[in-house]
Amino acid sequence: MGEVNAADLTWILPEIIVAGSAMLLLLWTAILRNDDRWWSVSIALGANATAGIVMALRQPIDGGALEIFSGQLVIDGFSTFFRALFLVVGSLAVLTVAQRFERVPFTETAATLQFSLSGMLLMAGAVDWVTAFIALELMAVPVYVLTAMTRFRRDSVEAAMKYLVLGAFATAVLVYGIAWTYGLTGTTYFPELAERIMTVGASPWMLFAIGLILVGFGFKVAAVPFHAWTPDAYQGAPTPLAAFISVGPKVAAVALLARVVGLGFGFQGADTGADPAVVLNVALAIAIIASMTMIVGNLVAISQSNIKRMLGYSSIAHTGYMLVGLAAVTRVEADTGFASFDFVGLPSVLFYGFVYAFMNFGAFAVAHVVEYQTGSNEISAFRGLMQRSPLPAAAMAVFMLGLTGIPPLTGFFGKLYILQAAVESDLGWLAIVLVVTSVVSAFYYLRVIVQMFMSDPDAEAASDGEPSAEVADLHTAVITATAGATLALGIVGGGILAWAQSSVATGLF
Amino acid sequence: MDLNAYLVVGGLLFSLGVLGTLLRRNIIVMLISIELMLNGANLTLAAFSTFLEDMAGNVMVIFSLTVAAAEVAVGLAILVALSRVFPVVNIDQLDDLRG
Amino acid sequence: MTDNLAEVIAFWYLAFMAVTGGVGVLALRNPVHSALSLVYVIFHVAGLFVILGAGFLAVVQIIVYAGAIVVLFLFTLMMLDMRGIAHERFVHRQLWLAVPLAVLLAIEAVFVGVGTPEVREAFLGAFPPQTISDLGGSTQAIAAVLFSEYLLPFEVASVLLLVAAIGAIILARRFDRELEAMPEAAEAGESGEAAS
Repeated sequence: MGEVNAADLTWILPEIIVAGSAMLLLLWTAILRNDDRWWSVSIALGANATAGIVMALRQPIDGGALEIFSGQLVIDGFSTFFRALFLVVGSLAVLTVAQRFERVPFTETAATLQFSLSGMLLMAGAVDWVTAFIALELMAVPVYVLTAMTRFRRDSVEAAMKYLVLGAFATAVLVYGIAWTYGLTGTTYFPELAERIMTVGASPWMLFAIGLILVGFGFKVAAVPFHAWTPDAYQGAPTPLAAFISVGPKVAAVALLARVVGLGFGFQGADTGADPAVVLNVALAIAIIASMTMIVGNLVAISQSNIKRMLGYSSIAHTGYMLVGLAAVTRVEADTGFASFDFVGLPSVLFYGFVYAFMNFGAFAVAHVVEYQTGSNEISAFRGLMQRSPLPAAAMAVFMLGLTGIPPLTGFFGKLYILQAAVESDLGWLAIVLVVTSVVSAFYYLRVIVQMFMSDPDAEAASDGEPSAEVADLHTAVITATAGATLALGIVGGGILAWAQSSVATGLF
Repeated sequence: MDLNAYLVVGGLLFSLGVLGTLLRRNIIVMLISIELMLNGANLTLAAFSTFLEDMAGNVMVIFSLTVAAAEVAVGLAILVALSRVFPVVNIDQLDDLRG
Repeated sequence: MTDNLAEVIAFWYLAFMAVTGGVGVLALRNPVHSALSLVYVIFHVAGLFVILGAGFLAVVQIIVYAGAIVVLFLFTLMMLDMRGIAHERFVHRQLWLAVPLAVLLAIEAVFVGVGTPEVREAFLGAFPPQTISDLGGSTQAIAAVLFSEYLLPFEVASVLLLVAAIGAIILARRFDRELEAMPEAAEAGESGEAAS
C-alpha cells in the first residue's frame, strides 16, 4: 500500500481513454443528432489504438509489478497481457457491429461496448476486492444492456432479463462471500489475504467464505452448475454482440478469478499454513467444477440445432478447459523444510484465453454472416456455404477445427499446455476427462463443417429463393483477421506462450 | 451485542433472499429478493467492519449499494422494454428461448 | 462494545423486525406488499447500522435504498400491468433446488450463532472506536479512507452509475418511432463506408 498521487492517473490512461471515448460518442450523437457509423467507428477504434499505444509506452521501468492507488490496482505483465487482448477483442466487436447490424442506434451500441471494455481493462489489474468488485460490475452492467439492444425483438429482451436476474443473484452471492473473507481476515487486499487465509487455516467458515466466492465467479464465467443463463443469453443477444459477450466478459472473469486464486488464495507463493492447506481444498473444488463443466457443456452441445446455442454450450465447455488450468497447482517441499505452492497452470490459462478469444469470436462472426444471408440461426442454414461464400466457410472450418483442438491449429496447443499442467499437478483424472470430452466435442464441431460442404438441393426448391451470397466488407475483414490469428498462432504459438509465461513471472503473484 | 448475533441476522436475511429468488416467479419480486440478499451481505460487512475496527467493510457497503442501484435501474429498464414486446410478469412466461 | 440493556433490547427488536420483514418479502403474494416489506427491512437494518456505530451507512441505506431503489420498484410496478400476479405458482420446477439450499443456509446461520468465527487480534484495523470519535464520527472516518485509499473505486463507481443511467435510457425508450426513422439501417453502414 502507499500514497495516492496524481501520477497514478497516468497509469490508468488506457482506461480513461476508452471510457472517455464512450462519453465522446454519446455527446457526439446528442449534439450533432446524427448516427454516422463511419465516424463512430473511427472514434472507438482510434481510442482503442491510442489506449494500446499508451499502455505499451507506459510500462514500469524495471519490468516488474507496480502498485498504484495505494494497492488497489497493479500494472504488471499479467495486466498488460489481458489489457492488450481485451483492446483487440473490443475493437473487433466494434468492427463487427458497424455494418449490417439491426435497426439500432449504432453510436449508443458502440458507447456501451466501450464502457464494458473499460471495466474489463480495470479487472485485469485489480488486486483489491473493492476495485475488483466495482470493475466486474462496470464490465457486466453494459453487457446486460447490449444483450437487450435489439429491444423490439422478444428473444433479445427476454435473454437480457434472465441474464440480469442471474447476474445480480451472482453479485449478491459474491458480496456475501467477500463479506465473510473480509471478516475472517480483516483485509480486502489480495497479497495480505493469502497470508492471513493460511494463518487462519481451513476452518469451516473460511471454506464457506471461499465457497461463496467460487459460486459467485462460477456464475460469471458460466461454469456448471451455474451455467443456466449462458445459452439463453447467447441465443437471444444480437449475434455480433453475442460474439463479444461470449469472449470478453468470460475471459475477463477468468482473468480476475486467476488473480483471486493465484494471489488472494495463495496458489502461488509460500505455504505458511496449517495442514491440510486451504489451497489444495480450493484447487480440488475448482477441479470438480471443471470436470462437470466440460462434461455437461460438451454433452448438451451435441443435441443443439441452433448455432448460437451450440456455441453457447461449447463456450461452457471451454470455460471448463480454462478451469482445469486454474486447478493445476503443485506443492513443492524444499530441503530446508519450507513448502511453497507453484501455480503451474496459470501460463496455460493465459494462452488458452488468448486463442479462445479469436476462435470463438470468429465463429460467432461467421454465424452472423450466415444469419444475414439466410435469416436463420439453425445449423442447417450452413448448408452450401462453401459454394455460396467460400471465405467465411473456410474460416468457419478453421474455427471449428481449432475449437476441437486438431493438431496444427492453436486450439490444440492450448489444450496441450493445459494437459501438461494438469498432469504435472497430479490431476491425471481431470486430464482424462479433458481428452475424452474433447473427442466428444469433435462430433458437433465437425457436423457444422459437414453441413457447409454439402451442396444444398433444398434451397433451390424452396419458395423463398436462394439465400444471398453477400458478405459485408468489415465482416470479411474481421473473419479474415480472426481466422488468420487462429492459423498463425498455431505456428508462432510458442511466442505467445513465452509471453504468457513471462507475464506470469513478472506479474504480482 | 456480540458479533455472532449480527452475523446470524445477516445470514437469515441472505437466506430469505436466496429462497425468495428461487421460489418466487414474479420478476420484480425476484429482484426485490436479490436486494434482500444484498442487505444481509451489507449487514455482515458492517458488523465485521465494526468488530475488526477497520473501515474497508464500511466502504464496501457503500459500493455494494451503488452496484445495487445500477443493477436495479438497468433491470427495471429491461423489464419495461420487455413489457413493450410482451406483457409478462412471471419468469415462467419467458419461454421463447429453449433448447 | 458495552452490553448495556437498552442496546440489547434495541438489537433484539430490530433484528426480529428485520427478519420478519424478510419473511414478508418472500411470503406476500402481492409484489407491492413485497416491496413495502423490503422498506420495512431496510429501516430496521439501518437501525442495526446505528447500533454498530456506522451512522453514515444508516443514512445512506435509507436514502439510497428506501429513497431511490424501492421507489424505482414501485414506479415500475405501477407502470406495468400486474394482472398476471394471481397466476404466480409457488410450487414449481426449482423447488428441488430452493428448499435444500435454503435449509443449508439456515443451518449455516444457526451454526454461526453456536460456533464462534473469531476476530483475531492480529487482524484488527486502524480504526478503533477511540480513533473514530477523535476524527469526529463514522462519517469522517469513512471519508478519510474513501478519498485516499479507495479513491480509484470511488471514481469507477461514478462511471458505473453513468453507464446504468445511459443503459436505462437506451432500453426504456419507445422504439416504434426509431424503427421508422431508420428502416434501412444496413444501408446506413454502406453509405458510411462509401464516405470513406
